[in-house]
Amino acid sequence: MKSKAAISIILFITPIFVACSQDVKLKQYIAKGEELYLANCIHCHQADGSGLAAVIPPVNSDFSIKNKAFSICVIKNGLQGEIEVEGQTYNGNMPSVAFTDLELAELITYLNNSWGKQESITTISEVEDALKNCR
Amino acid sequence: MKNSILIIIAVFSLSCSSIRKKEVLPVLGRYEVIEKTIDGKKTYDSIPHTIADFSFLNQDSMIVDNDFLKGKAYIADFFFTSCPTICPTMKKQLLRVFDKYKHEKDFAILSHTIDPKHDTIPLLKDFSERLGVTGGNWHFLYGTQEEIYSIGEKSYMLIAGEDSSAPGGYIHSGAFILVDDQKRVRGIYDGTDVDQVNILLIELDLLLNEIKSRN
Repeated sequence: MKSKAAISIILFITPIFVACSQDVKLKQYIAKGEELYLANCIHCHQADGSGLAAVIPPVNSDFSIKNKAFSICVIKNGLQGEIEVEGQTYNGNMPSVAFTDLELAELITYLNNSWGKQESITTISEVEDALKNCR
Repeated sequence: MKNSILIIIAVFSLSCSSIRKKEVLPVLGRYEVIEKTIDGKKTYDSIPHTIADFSFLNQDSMIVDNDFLKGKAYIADFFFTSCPTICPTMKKQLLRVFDKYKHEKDFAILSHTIDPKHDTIPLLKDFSERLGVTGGNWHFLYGTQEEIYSIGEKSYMLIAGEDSSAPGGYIHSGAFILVDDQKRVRGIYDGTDVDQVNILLIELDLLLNEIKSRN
């Protein structure tokens, strides 16, 4: 009887614990991603993620959710030439930054959970998969 | 007792507000003392620092020089189009100024590129259009490296020198320099700081009123 109760308690608590730790991990990724954004991205893409007119594309839209793999490649490798974001064509030169896979995951998680966006965590394995298929 | 406290508070708040609000903008920079001879007598006069004469081409290959700026106040800044550091923020802030004053005939914005090797006139034209600047009083100025550095360092008192170790290959100040219709510097603001640009917007109104009262 006692062991049954213990098992049911464990069964009850474990999902909560897992959910909580996932939540904590998401918050950690967002916090670390914000640091990376402030250090590397904010000058061009601005504090509100709005970019600059038709010179620098915004990062506050859901572009980086819809085109996550592409966005990971661009952040890692930089971008030269045209890109269309939210119906506007941009033609600038984004420098590459030597981010680690973890940092890329944190940064994408930050972007996709800021300025009203809400998405789940982007994992390191998602980043690794994306980087294998960069054009 | 109560009344005297109220009076003290009133006096304090009045004196504070008069300190905070400028009514006439100061003339900045070092004054130069010159010697004059009037009626055989030697006298001394101090004249304020002024911006030296210049002539640059804008994004439409139009000459922007002292004649063109006659009777106008202007804001000068230094940037380059491929700059990955403070320039986009400065341009974002200048867009705020431009949006408010683009139809003001007594005003201009002069953005000097410090990278003429890369920022050609057609490229400056493309950049200005991408910013949404058409048919207004915002001029993206092209000149040789020497001309830019000379006017930047000697007249605007800021650093616009080449430094290959800095991101983008150049260092430059993020300052917006407000110059009046008599080529005198009347304000210097941090172009990367929203609050400073808010002050600039207020002080520019003061200066435009001053110029209108002169004309």
